Amino acid sequence: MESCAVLQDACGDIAKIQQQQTPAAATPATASSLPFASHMAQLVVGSVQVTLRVLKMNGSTLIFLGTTDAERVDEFAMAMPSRPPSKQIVSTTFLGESGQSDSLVLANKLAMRYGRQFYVSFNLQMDAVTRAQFEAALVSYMQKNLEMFV
Amino acid sequence: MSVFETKNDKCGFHKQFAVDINGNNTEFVFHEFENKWMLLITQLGKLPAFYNVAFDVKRDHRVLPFTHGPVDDPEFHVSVPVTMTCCMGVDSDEIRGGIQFLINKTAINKCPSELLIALGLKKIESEDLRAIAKVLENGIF
Repeated sequence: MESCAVLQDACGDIAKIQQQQTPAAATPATASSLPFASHMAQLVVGSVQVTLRVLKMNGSTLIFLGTTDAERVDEFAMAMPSRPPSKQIVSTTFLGESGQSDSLVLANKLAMRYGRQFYVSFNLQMDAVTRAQFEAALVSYMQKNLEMFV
Repeated sequence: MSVFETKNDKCGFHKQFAVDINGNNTEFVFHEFENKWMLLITQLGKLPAFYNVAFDVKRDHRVLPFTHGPVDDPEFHVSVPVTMTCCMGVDSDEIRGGIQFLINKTAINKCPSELLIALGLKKIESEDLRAIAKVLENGIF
């Protein structure tokens, strides 16, 4: 408990640091002991400036998308692949409007593309053209920085 | 033309760290959004359930008597009144009790808006909850 003050300053890969200090053979990492990793990026698509916050967990990824000046959480959705042999995606909106929310649509696409559970909070007002541009650019960014997402 | 700029690749949230709580690696993630606080606490490597917590009374009246802080004596104990909604995942009395404990014992009850919280513990025991409350007080608030 005394190490809390130190830990709060070094935000980020604390567990990774602890793992590096421990011999790997002595304590094999289990799925639940792998550290979370997060990052933030500023994305500019046309005139829209978007803040992207990502938390990579074990088997799932959480993504927040909001405007840079006002980061809100108005919607939240989750999508994940069904158990094999089914190739369907199971998804739900659990915060905000029910039905086909923007968060749900994006979560579905990401879960389908990467075969992984995605939590998405999409809090942007965009027209169809800008949205399509943004999604293409987001996927491009994810491909370039894949290790930060999956 | 789209332009991407990675501003900070170390930490995407106000606080994110891992601490050993009674032998279990426990991940903490905290972020203040404009309309919500988000707090994720898990020992499972994933998020088992999401709860949305709305505070029933104004911030200055949540802990009685306000000037002296929370009352720890069981005989005079007053919980912070909240409305808890399970948004996703398993809804259990144990998790609700754990969240209420953390709200009572930490500065979570100073949240100016609603709270989105995930609490994934391998075992919900008072010893673990007290340790988590201490980590929250020292490491986040």
